[in-house]
Amino acid sequence: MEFDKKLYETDVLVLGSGASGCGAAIAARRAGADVLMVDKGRLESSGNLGGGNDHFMAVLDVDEHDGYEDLADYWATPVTGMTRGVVRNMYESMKPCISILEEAGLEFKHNPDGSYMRSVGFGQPGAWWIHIDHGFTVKPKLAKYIRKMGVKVVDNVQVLALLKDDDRIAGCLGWNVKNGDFVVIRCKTAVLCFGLVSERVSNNSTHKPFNVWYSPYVTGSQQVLALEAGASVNAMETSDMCTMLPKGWGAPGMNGINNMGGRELNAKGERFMGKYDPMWENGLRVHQVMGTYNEMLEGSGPPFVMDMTHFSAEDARHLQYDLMPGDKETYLDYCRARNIDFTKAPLEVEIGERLIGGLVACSDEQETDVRNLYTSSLLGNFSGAMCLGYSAGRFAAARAAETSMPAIDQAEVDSWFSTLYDPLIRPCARPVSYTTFEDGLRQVMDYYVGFQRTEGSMLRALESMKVLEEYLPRLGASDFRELMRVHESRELFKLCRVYIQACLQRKESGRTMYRRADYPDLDPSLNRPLATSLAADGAVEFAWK
Amino acid sequence: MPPVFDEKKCVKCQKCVTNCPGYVLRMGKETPEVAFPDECWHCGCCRVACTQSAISFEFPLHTRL
Repeated sequence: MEFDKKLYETDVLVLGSGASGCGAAIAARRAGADVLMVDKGRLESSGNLGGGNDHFMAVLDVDEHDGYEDLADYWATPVTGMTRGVVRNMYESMKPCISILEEAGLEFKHNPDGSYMRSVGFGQPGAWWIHIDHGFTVKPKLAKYIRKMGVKVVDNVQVLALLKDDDRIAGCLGWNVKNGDFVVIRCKTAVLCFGLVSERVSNNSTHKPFNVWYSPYVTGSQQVLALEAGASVNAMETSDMCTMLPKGWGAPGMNGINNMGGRELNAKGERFMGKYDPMWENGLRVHQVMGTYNEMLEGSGPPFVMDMTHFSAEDARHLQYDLMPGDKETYLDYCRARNIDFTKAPLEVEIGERLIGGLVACSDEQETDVRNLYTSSLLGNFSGAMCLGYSAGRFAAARAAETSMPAIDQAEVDSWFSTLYDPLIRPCARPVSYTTFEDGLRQVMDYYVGFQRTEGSMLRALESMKVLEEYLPRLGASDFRELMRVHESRELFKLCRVYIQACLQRKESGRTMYRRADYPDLDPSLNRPLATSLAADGAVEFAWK
Repeated sequence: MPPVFDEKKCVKCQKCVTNCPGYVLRMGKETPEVAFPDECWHCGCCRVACTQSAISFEFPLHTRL
């Protein structure tokens, strides 16, 4: 089997074409840079935004609690390492990004007086979440806009490594998952936009790893590639995400349900969230998930439901028929399959799977520890991703304008070319499939590193990870699609192994989507970020900041 | 068995196949087909890309339990 080699060059390389990547590409192109964006998927459908979105978070300086200081007070938390400077970048990008989305043809909901229709969500002090009409069309519309403005889009290329020239970014390498081409991209600057969190590391009740909340095709490139290139990653042990899912189905939508007044009831018919958050269901999501988990431990469920039967007919219609299909286009097909009508009966929900990730550490100008490598994907929502992508794209374009083209390490490129196809063209005698391997990974993560865990259980998990590691060389593929999945499996394994080690460092409970049974209380001294990095020999290193 | 294709409406343009973010679809003899149903995210990108309204959705058993 022969593989062609393709070499591209660009000023600004955008790594990932989801919401972050779109923001970065648009800003860098507007600044006059030559921009190339690369992604394993296709721009029209890639990333979490490929599934649609029904809300865009923005402070607009028109209402109470509607400005930069409010935004910074909420998002610049010590634990994540997100600074007020980075939040300012997001703030300054919000109005431009809204204009871009409107230029691209996206429609926001308006009140009769012409103002944006907005709701309060996630325990925030102001109504920051603008309602979107036809949210499932966001990605195709943005894709059309981006292609038209002259961004070079390289679809279907799975990035496997970042390339460096001394201490600066020099590009990336990967391969085309449809035709097998080996791809090298050289750049002056780059922006990491591969996504804050990854799925396929734990199960929901269906044990179907692709039937999940966020995109199951995002598998840890953001953190793994950054770490391997020498960047550090903050908050890997606190970035767990989880939500309440419609029973049996990996769909978003809980923000819309909570912010419009949905009431969560346990199996006894009791509304219980007041015990866990002063804003009840519309408080912090970690409180909703862990509160529901606590109810379950106490025998008050399952089942759990979200009750919207008290809504006005118009609110119920807007929620079920405008917002929910915007968040996932197939929502109404699910409703038909289960005879769901928000006006007539509550929606059964379950605690979903857990997602893990982390924030690549950066300066206020969003530059990582690797010179000329910028980062976005610092927030997991559409607006945060796009707006911080937009600011990172601006910074990356400005630096590219004063930077020469770096050199590529040809020996590293040749080494990758000679090995990346091995699972396909040189399989071992008894190959193991990616499905078998990933089932094992989730078995470890669910059993030893679940909602409740201890130092002992996590150390035992690391022992099991050593067994899984023995299977890595045996992963086999029979076609390009399977080879792509094999590389995803390898990445997920690396992500989980670093994550478990990071979790061992945080000896407290109360800040995350899990509990340390051996450290059940909050430790005020740990209200700060834990930075994770890799030493030259590959050992994981930690530093409290 | 997530997307279901109406062969009377399908014009075999393969836009659904191209836009599937999970590489779950492939072209069959008459219409596209779901080659890897367990890896479908139910995102509906195939239906958004379809200009002929040829795609409906049938939810698998585990989503009804």
